[in-house]
Amino acid sequence: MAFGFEPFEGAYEVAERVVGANVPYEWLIYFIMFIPIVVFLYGAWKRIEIWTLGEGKINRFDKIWVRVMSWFTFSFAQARVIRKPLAGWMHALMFWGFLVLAAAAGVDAAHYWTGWPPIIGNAYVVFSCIVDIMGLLALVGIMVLFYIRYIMKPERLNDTKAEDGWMILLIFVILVTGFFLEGLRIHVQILLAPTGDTSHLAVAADYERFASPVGWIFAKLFSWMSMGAAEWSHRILWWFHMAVAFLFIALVPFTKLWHIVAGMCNYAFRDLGPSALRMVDNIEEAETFGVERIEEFSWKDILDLDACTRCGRCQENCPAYNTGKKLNPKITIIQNMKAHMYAKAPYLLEARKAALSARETGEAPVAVAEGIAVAADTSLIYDVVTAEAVWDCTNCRACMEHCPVFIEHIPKITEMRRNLVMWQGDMPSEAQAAFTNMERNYNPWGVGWALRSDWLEERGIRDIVNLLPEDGGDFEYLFYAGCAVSFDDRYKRVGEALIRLLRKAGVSVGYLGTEEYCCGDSARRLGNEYLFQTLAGQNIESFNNYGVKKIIVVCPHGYNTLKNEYPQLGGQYEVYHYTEILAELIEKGKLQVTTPINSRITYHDSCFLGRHNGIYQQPRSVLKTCGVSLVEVEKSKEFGFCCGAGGGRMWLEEEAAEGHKRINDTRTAQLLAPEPKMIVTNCPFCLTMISDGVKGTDQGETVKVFDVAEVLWKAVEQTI
Amino acid sequence: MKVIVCVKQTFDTEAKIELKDGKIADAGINLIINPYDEVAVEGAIQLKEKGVAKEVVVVAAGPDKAMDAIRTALAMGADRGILVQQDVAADEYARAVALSEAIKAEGPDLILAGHVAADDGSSQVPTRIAEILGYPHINVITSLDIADGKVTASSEADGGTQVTEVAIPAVISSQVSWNEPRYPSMKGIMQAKKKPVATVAAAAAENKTKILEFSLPPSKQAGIKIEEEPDVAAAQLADWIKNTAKVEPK
Repeated sequence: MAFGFEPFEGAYEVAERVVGANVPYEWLIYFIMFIPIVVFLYGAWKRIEIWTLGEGKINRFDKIWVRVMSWFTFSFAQARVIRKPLAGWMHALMFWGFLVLAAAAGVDAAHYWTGWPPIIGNAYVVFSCIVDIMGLLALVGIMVLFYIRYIMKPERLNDTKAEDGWMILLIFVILVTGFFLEGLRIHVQILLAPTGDTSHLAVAADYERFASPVGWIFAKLFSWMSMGAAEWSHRILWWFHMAVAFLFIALVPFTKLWHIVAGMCNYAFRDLGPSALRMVDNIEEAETFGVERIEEFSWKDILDLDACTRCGRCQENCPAYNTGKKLNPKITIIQNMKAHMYAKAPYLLEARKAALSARETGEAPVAVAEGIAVAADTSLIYDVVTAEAVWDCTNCRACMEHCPVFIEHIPKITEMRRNLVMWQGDMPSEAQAAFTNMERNYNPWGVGWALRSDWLEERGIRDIVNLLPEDGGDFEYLFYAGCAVSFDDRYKRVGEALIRLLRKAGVSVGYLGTEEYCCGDSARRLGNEYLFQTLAGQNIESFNNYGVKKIIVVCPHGYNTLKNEYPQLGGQYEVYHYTEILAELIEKGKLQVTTPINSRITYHDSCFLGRHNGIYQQPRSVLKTCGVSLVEVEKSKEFGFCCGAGGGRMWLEEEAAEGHKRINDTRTAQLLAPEPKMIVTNCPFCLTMISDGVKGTDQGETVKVFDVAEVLWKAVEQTI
Repeated sequence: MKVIVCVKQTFDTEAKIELKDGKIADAGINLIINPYDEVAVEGAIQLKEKGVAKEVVVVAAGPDKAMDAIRTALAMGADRGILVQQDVAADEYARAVALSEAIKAEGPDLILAGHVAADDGSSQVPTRIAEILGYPHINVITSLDIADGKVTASSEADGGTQVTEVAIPAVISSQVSWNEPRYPSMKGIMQAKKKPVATVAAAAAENKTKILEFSLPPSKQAGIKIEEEPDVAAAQLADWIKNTAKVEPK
């Protein structure tokens, strides 16, 4: 066998396939394969080296076991990828197919050298059949992916490059040549199949029908070929197939195929915590704020840039992009940053090397400063991403929710906002006003803080509320009203409805009144981390003073902040959104609907209750108890379209882009499409944005916008 | 060119004012830089950014806690501060004398201030300073140009705009529409901590006025709402004016 090769045979003692049969010097492949492996390893190191340029601190080596599981589930089960029905499943088929084919190649190699595992007889038939079918599925996958990108052309794939086509072709060629090889081999084996008494032999012509059903079909394609032609075609094609497969391996680190590695890394190193912005520790002693230069991001943020394959699921769901804004999470954030990082990386690497050698020799780096200066000429925030795009984001989390590789867009945008606000002092003037208001009067509206509990008198519920600083009674839950209930005339009614509902259900609540402060959500998400920490610190102090354990929060922004972000500052409480409490009270029979509301309604999922915290069911169950007929709009739950007010954008002006409506008007039109009698939401910002939207339409007089709590109160008490 | 900006520390404009023993209770009241003075600070910093001004010095007359107002102005971008220690009870005259003394020692080319303070609303101090120092004065400006040792400023006049030119040194007081003051960045706040602030004693001056009494405006009464057809509503309203509110014709 050494320099020769095994010829094809038409029959064996038992069903099998002789690995490498018919190919002279086929054993060379086991040495040649080290070339693509070395190229792969070199390229991979070059890419990973760039991740290490990230200076920002981040700990993603905690909870190792959870990370291993995450890596396994999302890589191999493709759990996140298949969320997009057609493209996702096709990617999964291709991935699983390739995985099985690669594994099979490994098994074959092992069998070739050691004879183990013994893939002969029935084991061969089953093994080969599985591999054959997986190969076919992979082939179907890549062809449908071609169809999606070049024929269907969805808007999300609006930046197709030549590379995308070459990679599809590469994968297609690997799979097709594989089947051609199999077809040629089976064709020759059929020609060689013995006639007469073959009872002691396994004849290829019989078992290959089952072992290689797809290969069998390809064999039929070559049935016209003479034996000699088929053998020679097989030999040439075998080397070509190997060459293409090795090219694939070698190309991984240098092409978009790198997402296979980077994506898997992202599954392991993703943010495992709840939806919270990253904490800035010891802000009092910080010397810089946010991220001004791209290398100030953490290594995980740089890894994110590599993991992106430009699938555009973020873009497809981004409310800013879809209303014509400058922000596009795929392009203006990730891809632009990636291009910038790769342009700057050579200088940064040189600078690092120079700094290291300077430490050894005691000489200061000189030449590198020049290169760095060139790269620094391009400003990350102003040139690469643009400040406009940084401010466009509503923090709705659609991009992060739909990204198949868990890229963290919002933390990056926030870091840039932090730099703009706390370092450059460059921000929209409305943001300034909101900050000043939160700073001086602890609410973004800027109403005097001493008036914070006046809404109780205004709504006539002072006598039924345990106002802790004055009454000081015992309580089970703290009622965290938030700024909207305290100062927004429209939302005060929602506060009243809730207080009355909780009282009716016998829930014991306490309210802090003027000792309650703004939760800080808008400050933090607009980039003013310092102000956020000040406000959160004041609240935590108040909560602890009154021994608070459980909290009911009215506004989803406060809910998310208290629940997911206060623990970063040491504030650990059991935090509930009021819809969770109401759903439970109904279930326990403590609230009963007396007057069902037979209205046709549409429901708007607020981003901070929905995507940020996964609460979709409880508000719907409360509404269904009220008797309404709830019509789901096209974009709801995980796909809910933002009202435009998140991420502190509540306080910023929004100009409609040319040819588009504003975000709130766009969302309102979606909610009005099923012609509801009312639109119901669960968030004061959404209520404002959608009420404004409805006012601007011809349904402004007929369609009313309510909060879930108001609808329930109406159904329970016949009043609103 | 050296620019001095006079700032006053005032109550937050949204603060809930309460009286205690006939005096304004200041517990729990947030103190801010007078919003009109904030505009003057911004104007001075913009002059510096344009290269017109070389140094911006902030001067405040008041108790020690007025230092916060100076620090805010420094965080916005002023270069250094002077706190003229003076009792809050000083009236406009005493305050103007104290500030003028401090300003004289500095010998500035331009003195900026808000045209009025949000708390007492007396609009006297910048004008008094100009008088004491013998400098020309333009009040309530909305724009400012400096060239060849002259200040040209637009100011609000009844139903229009007046453009005035004066030689420097001059005292200029600002209207809020002049500019939009910046929000101090953390960088600014950190730098402000290192900027020098001198503390000087106020020049002796007796108050010329004496406050006799403080009182709060009567609390707002709930309104009435008449929901009727116009003719009925008008009749009911007339009845209410005559018989309930008892408004008598003079």
